[in-house]
Amino acid sequence: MKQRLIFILLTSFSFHSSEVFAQEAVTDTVDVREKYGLRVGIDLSKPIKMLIEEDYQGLEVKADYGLYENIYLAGEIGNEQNVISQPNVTASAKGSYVKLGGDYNFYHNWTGMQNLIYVGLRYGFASFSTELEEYSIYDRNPYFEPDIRAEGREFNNLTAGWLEVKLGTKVEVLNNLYLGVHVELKKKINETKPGNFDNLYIPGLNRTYDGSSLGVGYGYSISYLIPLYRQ
Amino acid sequence: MNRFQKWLFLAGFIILTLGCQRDDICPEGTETTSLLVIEFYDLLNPTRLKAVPNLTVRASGKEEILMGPTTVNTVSLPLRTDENFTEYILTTNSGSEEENTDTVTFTYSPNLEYLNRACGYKVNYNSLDIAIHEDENNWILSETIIQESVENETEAHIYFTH
Repeated sequence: MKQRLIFILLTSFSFHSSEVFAQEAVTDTVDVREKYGLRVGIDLSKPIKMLIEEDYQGLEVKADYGLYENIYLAGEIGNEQNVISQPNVTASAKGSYVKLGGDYNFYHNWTGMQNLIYVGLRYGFASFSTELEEYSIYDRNPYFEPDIRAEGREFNNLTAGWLEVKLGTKVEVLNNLYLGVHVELKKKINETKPGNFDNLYIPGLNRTYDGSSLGVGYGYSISYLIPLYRQ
Repeated sequence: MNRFQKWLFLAGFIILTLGCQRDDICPEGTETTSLLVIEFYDLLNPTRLKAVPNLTVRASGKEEILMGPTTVNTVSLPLRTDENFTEYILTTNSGSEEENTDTVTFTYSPNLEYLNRACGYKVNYNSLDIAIHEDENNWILSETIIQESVENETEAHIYFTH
């Protein structure tokens, strides 16, 4: 956009002396209406986490589509695998999730800019499996040797659903290319728990907390806007 | 949004995310694997607690003693969680002329119960049974199982008379 404006400025200067009326004609072709279309991207925080954390694997693809002014239909789809290691329990979880909802942009751009600061709402759903890898029998009396068991019990066909509120920003860094960052707060509304065990990690909802149905998360994203129309 | 605001926003949410991480330590008050509580009663007056003089308790196969010598009317014994029995050697009047040793086997079926991520699992012992090994001079004269399942330590599970 900026380069284009400079270009227009320079062209108008060069034609200034000879054609006085040309300037008006060129300015008319600059379309200041906002671009709308399908924006697709990936979450960058997950590949970064894969480099830092040995046991983690994850990928998330996201998309949003401008419906009305400042209102976007948005969703994410992803796959994650993680190990939660606690002093007395070690368990892994792997599976896929999908999140659907919308974003509302409350940032008023200067003419010609396309940045967003948004709040989003999602319904998330995950289908996953968990493996209890190692656990200990908690005994306050240390008379007998600690009873630590590494049997490996697997629980399949687990599901969970949650509501999620997002707060984030997307900044157009190059033409149609956006960098974004956001935070997520989730409230679990349903889940199937493994028998005589618990879900310590749910793909998409992240680690769970004992005695609380809340979850938190964040992400960095890079996305590309495929412009379809302007309004 | 200027550059400063962007960085402020970024720093803000990183702090927020890190602050939400909680370290999980098994809370002190959690009901974890229970000890077996035994009360000693007087044979002649079975409603009256009677202390065992200089009692020493040791599990079979262990060198170190669990407790004693001490004069008490109640003991709390850990049971093996990885076996379905635990054998204890209970000695009264330890170190004196009248020292007397009885061997008792507790049998049970251990069942796992998930507590939480910090504590892991506990074991509940069900179908508790006792066998006092007979010798020429048993000091434990009778046994009564009060609770067949050992899940907490609020009340005694077994009464012994002597």
